[in-house]
Amino acid sequence: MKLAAFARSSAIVAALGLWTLVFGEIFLRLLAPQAIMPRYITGTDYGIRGNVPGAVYAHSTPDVNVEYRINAQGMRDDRLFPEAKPPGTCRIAMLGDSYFVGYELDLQQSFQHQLEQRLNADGHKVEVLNFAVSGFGTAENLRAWQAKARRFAPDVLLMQWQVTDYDDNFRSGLYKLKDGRLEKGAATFLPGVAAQDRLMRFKLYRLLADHSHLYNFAREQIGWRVKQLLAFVAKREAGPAENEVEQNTYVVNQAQVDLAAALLREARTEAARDGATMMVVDIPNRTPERVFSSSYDLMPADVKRDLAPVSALPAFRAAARNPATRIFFKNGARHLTPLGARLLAEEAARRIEAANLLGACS
Amino acid sequence: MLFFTWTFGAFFAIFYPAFLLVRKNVTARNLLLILAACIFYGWWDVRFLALLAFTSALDYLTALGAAGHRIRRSQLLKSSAFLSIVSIAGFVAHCLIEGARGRDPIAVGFADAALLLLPAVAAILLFIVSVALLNRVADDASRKYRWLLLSVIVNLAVLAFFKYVNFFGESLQEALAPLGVDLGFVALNIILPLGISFHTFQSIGRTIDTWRGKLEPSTSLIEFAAFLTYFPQILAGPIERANHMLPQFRSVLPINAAMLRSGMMLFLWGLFKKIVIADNMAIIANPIFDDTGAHSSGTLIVAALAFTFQIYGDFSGYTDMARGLARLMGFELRQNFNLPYFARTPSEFWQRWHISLSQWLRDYLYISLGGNRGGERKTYRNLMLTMLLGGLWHGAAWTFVFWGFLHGAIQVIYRFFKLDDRIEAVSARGGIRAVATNLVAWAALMPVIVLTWIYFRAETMVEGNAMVAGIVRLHDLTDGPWATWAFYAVPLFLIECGLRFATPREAYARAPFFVRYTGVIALLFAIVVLTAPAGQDFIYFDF
Repeated sequence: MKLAAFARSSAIVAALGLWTLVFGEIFLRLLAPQAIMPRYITGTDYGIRGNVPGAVYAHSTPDVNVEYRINAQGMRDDRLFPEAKPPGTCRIAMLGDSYFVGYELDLQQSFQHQLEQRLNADGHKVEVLNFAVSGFGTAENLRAWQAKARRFAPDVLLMQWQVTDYDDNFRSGLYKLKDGRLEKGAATFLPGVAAQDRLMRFKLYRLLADHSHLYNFAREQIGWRVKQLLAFVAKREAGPAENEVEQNTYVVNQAQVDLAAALLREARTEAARDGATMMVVDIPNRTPERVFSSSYDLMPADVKRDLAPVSALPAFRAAARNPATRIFFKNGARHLTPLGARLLAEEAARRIEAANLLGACS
Repeated sequence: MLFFTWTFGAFFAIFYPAFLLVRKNVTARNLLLILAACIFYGWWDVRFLALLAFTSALDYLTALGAAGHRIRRSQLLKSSAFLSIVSIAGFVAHCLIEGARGRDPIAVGFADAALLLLPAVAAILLFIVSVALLNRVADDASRKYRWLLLSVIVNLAVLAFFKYVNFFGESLQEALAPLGVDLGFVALNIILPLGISFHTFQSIGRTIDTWRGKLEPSTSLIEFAAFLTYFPQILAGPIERANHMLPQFRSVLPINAAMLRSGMMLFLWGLFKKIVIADNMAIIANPIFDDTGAHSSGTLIVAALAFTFQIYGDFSGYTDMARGLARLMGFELRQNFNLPYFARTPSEFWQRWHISLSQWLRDYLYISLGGNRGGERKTYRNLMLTMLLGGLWHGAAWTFVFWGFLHGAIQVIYRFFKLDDRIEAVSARGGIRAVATNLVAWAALMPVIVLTWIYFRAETMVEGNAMVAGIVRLHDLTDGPWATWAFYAVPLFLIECGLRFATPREAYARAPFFVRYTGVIALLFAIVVLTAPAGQDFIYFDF
């Protein structure tokens, strides 16, 4: 008797739980459609995250529907690149996060494609190799360079910079500063990868990740809050609050600035040792909306001098004077629009050509 | 500490189990409520805890005096001790907080001691002198009246100092400037204590009630302080009546499952109105009110409508959350809003909007001025005065005074043409004519209410006038964020239609569990998904 009552109660609770999920999905689809942005990320044998080789997936936001094709080498590209560089060809390696992956942009609209097109149109023979992975900071960029990108003998390394790198570098623990010197830290940084790999084996999970508004809403909300919490903890670990500097709505600890600067110096040195010239590409802050600023301003003077960033700030500001234009998408994960990517690619091409970085290889 | 923040969530998660533990011991429960109020209020600024303690101690004594009692030495001692303990605790907390912010707490103590502790010493002297002088007055009526005067004068003086001194100083200076008179008034840098207008009125009301003989004052200071500082309603009301609330602080209150359920639902409904409706409406209204000149008439109308819903969602949302929290503790706060935007006449609007304030103004101001006992002219005068002062109660600005004036004026007009009576008479007969009359009356009143909100929201009269001028140009009426406004306003309006009329309300109450469950999860999803990206403070905290 008791068992029957328990089974009945359990069935009612389960049915209500299921109805809550179904209702939530309907509610979101009708009243607040979400950006469906699954991440196809897995672990790599060099201890950090990488794109799932061969993955084909889509992002759908109120602004765009985009398909991503990851090649067998883990790059967002339809081509495969031999490690040996073809004669007479210049190679540009890109390292960064979702902005460099080209989230919310078709491949043809992405920074990588527009940069390659632009340089080839100017008479160069250039291949742009995109090693970017969503969520990367400078520390992972450096590790990816050491373990993978350098093998493709790039002539130029474009390393993306944006404000979240201050937190991400510290949080990853891959490198630490000791007495002002950069030291290797943890061997691996694979946040959430094991769980994601296990879940991705299930078709139902992939179905939810690719199509469910409720699942994507929950994942973004929880992910964002966890990230906020981890960033807060990272700041506390970085040093006392009086060492914090504020820029717009971002608060950064001086120890985080020092670590980021050391990582950039190290990346520049390693790239030079491998025969590549490194440039930093700055993704501006945009708070408040349509007011752009650079978090790179917080860097020490020597970094700003030796690694003067490719900055599309003047072009963004000029374009934003027209209220109809958008540099970043308004919805979704608010990445660069095709216009934003084009302006950034034009500035990068201009800087590469002005510094004659392709003279020796083409 | 806002009800919808994680800070409050953590505070309540610690407070509530402790409350449940001690709730059957009235004194311990009331002491816990006072302590919780100190933390809740002190979270904003611990320095002002002394002010709360002062009001509590003062009105504890004045209510006893106004009821005809001679104040005993023990009662004087109790109120002085209470004020001293809270003031010193606030002072020590202030030094420690400043110490945690990197300042030397000892140096802070020396620097701020005079400012924070001397007023408490002065207040205790005031108590001693008042008791010594007034206890000697032999005539009962005269003594009671003097205690009442002391309460009213001191409370209003405190309110005037914190809220109105700059307003009146600057206004007088501006008025005399054309005559070549310079008063040399320099605006003081005064922090407005949160909720001062609410707890001052609550406190004065109680003293007046005891003077009128409607209420026997409590001899327990703990009971009275717990009532006056009750944290769910301390910042923005409802302005409670002692005869409704004090009995609840005197007894052990039952808590049952139905109360918990309805308390939580009320809290969620208030939360929805605040963070979904009001805060999203603020996103529409704020940029347009900040720059009225640059917009079409359509956009200005949307902004006015958005603010109309914002202020309703904000204030009634706060009230519902406060009432819901109180119900979780077994307390029942009075209803402060009753679907005000369904009113058909101005007087009905004030029976539905901020009910606790309008009843306070009616009982303690309008009736004291003579009410409607001295003929039509005096009634109009009393109505206008009450509404003007009601406007000024909201804030120290001419926009609020004008808002009060507009409300007074429409009440006078309706009364002059006996529109209330006529609408009521037709409505009472029922049928199609009654429905049509009610609809026309509602449709005629609402634009006026929206107009009054424009001045309430505007920073200056010039801004308010510019907005009205922009609207009456009637240029490009379809322009503006109408769709966004409708997305939030229409569902709220439809739900309130359901609440307004008995049939749908009762149908929902009788509906199967599954339907009611779906209603609750719809509310929860709306709160989680549609919350405005930037939370706003409660508007009425400024009052």
